[in-house]
Amino acid sequence: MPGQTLFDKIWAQHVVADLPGGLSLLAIDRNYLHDLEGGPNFTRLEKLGYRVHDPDLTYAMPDHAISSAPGRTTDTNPTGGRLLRDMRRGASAAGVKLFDIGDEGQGIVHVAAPEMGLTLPGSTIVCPDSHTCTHGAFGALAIAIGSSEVSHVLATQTLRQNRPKFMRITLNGARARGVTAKDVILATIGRLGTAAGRGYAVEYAGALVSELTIEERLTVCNLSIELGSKTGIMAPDDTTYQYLAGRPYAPKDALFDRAVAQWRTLPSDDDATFDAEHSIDVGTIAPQITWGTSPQDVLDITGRIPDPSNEPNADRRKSMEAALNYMGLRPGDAIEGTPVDWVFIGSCTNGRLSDLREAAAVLSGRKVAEGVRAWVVPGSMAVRRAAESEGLHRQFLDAGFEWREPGCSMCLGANGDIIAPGERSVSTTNRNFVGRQGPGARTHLASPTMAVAAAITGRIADVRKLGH
Amino acid sequence: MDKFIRVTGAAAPLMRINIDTEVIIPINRLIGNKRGDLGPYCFEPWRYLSDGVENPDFVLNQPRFRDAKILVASDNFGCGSSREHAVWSLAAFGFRCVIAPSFGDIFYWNCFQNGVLPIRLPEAEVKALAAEIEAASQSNVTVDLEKQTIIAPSGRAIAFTTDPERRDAMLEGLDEIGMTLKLDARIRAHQDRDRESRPWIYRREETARVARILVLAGDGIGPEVVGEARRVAEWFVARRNLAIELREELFGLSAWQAHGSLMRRETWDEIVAADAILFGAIGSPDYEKIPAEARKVDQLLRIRRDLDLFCNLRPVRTLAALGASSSLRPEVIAGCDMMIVRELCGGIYFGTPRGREKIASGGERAVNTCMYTTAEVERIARSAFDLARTRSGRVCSVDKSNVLTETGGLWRDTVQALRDQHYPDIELSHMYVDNCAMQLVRTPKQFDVLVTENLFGDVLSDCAAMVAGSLGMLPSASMGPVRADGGRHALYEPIHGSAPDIAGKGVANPLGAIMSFAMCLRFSLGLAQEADRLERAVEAAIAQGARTADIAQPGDKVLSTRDMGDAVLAQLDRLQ
Repeated sequence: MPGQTLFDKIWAQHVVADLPGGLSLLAIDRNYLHDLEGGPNFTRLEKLGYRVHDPDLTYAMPDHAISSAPGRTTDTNPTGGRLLRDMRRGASAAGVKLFDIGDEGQGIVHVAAPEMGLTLPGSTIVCPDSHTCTHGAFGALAIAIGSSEVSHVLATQTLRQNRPKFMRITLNGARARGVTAKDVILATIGRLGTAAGRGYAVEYAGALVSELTIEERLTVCNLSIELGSKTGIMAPDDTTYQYLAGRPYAPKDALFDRAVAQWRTLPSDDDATFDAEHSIDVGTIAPQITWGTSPQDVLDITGRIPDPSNEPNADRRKSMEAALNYMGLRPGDAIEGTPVDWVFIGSCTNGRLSDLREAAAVLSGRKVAEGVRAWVVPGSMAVRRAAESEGLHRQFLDAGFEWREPGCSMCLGANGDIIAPGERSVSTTNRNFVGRQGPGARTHLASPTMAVAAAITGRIADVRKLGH
Repeated sequence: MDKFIRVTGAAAPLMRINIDTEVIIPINRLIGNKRGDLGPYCFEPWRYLSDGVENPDFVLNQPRFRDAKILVASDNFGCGSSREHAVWSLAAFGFRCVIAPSFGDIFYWNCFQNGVLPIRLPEAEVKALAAEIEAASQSNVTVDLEKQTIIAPSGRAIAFTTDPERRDAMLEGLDEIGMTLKLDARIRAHQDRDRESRPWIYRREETARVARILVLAGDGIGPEVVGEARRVAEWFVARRNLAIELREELFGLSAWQAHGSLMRRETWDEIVAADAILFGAIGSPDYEKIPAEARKVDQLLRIRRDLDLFCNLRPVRTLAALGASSSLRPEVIAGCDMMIVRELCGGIYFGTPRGREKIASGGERAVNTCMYTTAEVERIARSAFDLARTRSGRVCSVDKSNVLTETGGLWRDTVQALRDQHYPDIELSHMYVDNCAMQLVRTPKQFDVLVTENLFGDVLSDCAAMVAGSLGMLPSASMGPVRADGGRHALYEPIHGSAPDIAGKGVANPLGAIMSFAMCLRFSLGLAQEADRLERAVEAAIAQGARTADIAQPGDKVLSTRDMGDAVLAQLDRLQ
């Protein structure tokens, strides 16, 4: 028998039945709900007359529409309040655990669930959010689903899935100074394009992956969807197990040892084969910044804005022109030095404790430039509290950042946190789409350290020139 | 879901690559709009100019495409965010079909879930079709899923293929959940095997042992009403596979008669070991016959005190069918649904010094002491706030801080501080107890969760009982602190007393005891769905006209205790 991939093994363990048309009925271990989808799906299920199949495998928390304002309450953002109340009622009626405002476990679901030890290697995880692929960092099979599928999972604890093809992206070499996990994955997307992963489950492998911390792995897997893939995955290893030990919902004592023994069997076999392979030399990557309206529109910080007239493909040329027009940028200009109005540090990509630590380290006592508004929105209540106990919030506040409550916030503006039309932001988020951070808002994606460099200088800047 | 067999209508060409779901439906439209109402916002960024007027250049604003049912698009249509609202907005606009060379993965599968057919065709084929539509005088296209054929405006037929199971489901308009639940036995068998090999996935694995429920029927009508609650519990064991073990101990006079003790050691051990206690009633004139020494200790108070059952919950809900049995006007009480959270282990009922003594000037002096600590107030306030989060988020705290400035002041300060620090989302109000007593009978609907200290709670909860119509209907729960192992002691009892005058006649209303078991399902066993099921069954029985003597109006058929139990069981069978 040929070798199996990590993905194969998890898939095989979860197939309940083979359905016509090559579909499989997969057992789901974790169903994560957020405020945009929680209440509406509980209500829909009730209307259809179905019950929640396994309340103990579903976890809910508000993140998308909840206010990030300091001292917020349920109704600080009234629409978010309505959604949260509906989700509370539904979760309570079904016996589903909800991490509410003020709870340690509240936060962006892709930040808080791993911190609570809910995301475990070898498990199947679904969430009605495209960045569900984040959880693959633990060696879990994480799948982004749609609203109807949420109802389906709630009512059956299974998902109908087509088995994807497999792609392996091998990240080799050593990172240069100032290069973060975010730069690595942005550069990968820039080289392969946002359609490369479509129809594939992507496994990240190579020497770099084993060197990354769990939080860095989460950042890499988070952007799999920007490669076009619903699923990104990495082999679990000792780093994974050390991270999980002692987390509130992770197994304990003898059960933990038993789980680790099983998890050790999960990594892809040496002779496993993939339908597509890519290799990236990480040593060639510099700090990254996007220039356009797709994550693949990305440059080295030392680069120049590309000229559409050099683009042979007509469709591509048209979309580049539209992007430059939207972004208010001129072909051939250096990206470095472009003035910015906003800096946003947060999101499921870069809202974790290590992100805030790195950002604070670059800050090292400097101030936010005049005319720049800068926010830090911790990814979870646990991150916020840990950062406060380390005094990181003091450093941000003293520099002129706003220190806010955990949630998705300005990554997508679903709670009303938006950037004014035409204003330019350096954001540690995952999408620079047209209108993503507000109608007309111009988003440049970058790492937390690059975001701080922009905040201090008031311009798109090379963090390495600030002594990093 | 609408069936998709054959659709004919205008086809609109929108030949841009990488149209992402943010353009199809902007994120800010996801909130506050139901799925059927998203049509006006479909392609909003392109369809309207910045001042909100229609952009005349956009294809869907052209007269011939305004009612388009089919969309012809370019590569990677529906990429980006996974929001299913993108499909909903297309469907709400009127689209039944999207034809493109390729689609965003999530969008593609979402289409099938919502009766929108996504068709993949080779790029050249799509471009040719779009060009034909642009050039033709009429843009009608037919999509026939049965024959898997597209008829272009020229009459030319284009073949396509669709995944066979998806095609069947679309043709039949089938709901996928129902299809999957046909395989439920296999799903559960898979889970049972998996629970053995990967127990760490299942949160309740360690606690999924059999819950021990101790029945203490007690005196008077206790055995009759608890007997019916017991039958209901047994129904849940047999029919809903609940892991409950029901044990019973004699309590009260019957214990004295059988064992010569009001609380033998074995009974006490059972009480301490139980996950929950289902209690009937206590009290009888016959206690006079027991030696004073043996009845010095009130055994129910001892349970409350020794198990530290500090949190007393009394739900008060009006049932429309019972409006007439309240002394209050129907329009005052209609739709009332509140929960009184009463502190049960502190305050004047337990404070020392207490006593009566003769005084030199003649007569006696009697003393009771009201005392509260910050910790005592905090834990009951926490209980109320947690509960409010599962309801409307509103809490009214009741005290007498204007006169009892010490205990009342501490109460108010502590509740407010806890709210400010840990429950900022809770809408907290304060009310003096005298005003509260008036408001309860004046406009009871204003209350949702009401939290108060022991004595006030005792008085107010009886007052509030009248809002529901009859004491015989009302349950209560008394719970202790959460222990390190996650469990907590809890005692569930109807709020009515032992009613010695009707004891043994089989006429008492068992619904208070049955509803107490529903609270037990919700709060001790964490089975909110089962609790809902039981509460719905009780409501249905009442709505069907089931009445015991205490809630019957003249002319109603009066049921016995047992008949009322049967009426609830019949509704449970029906709702199963």
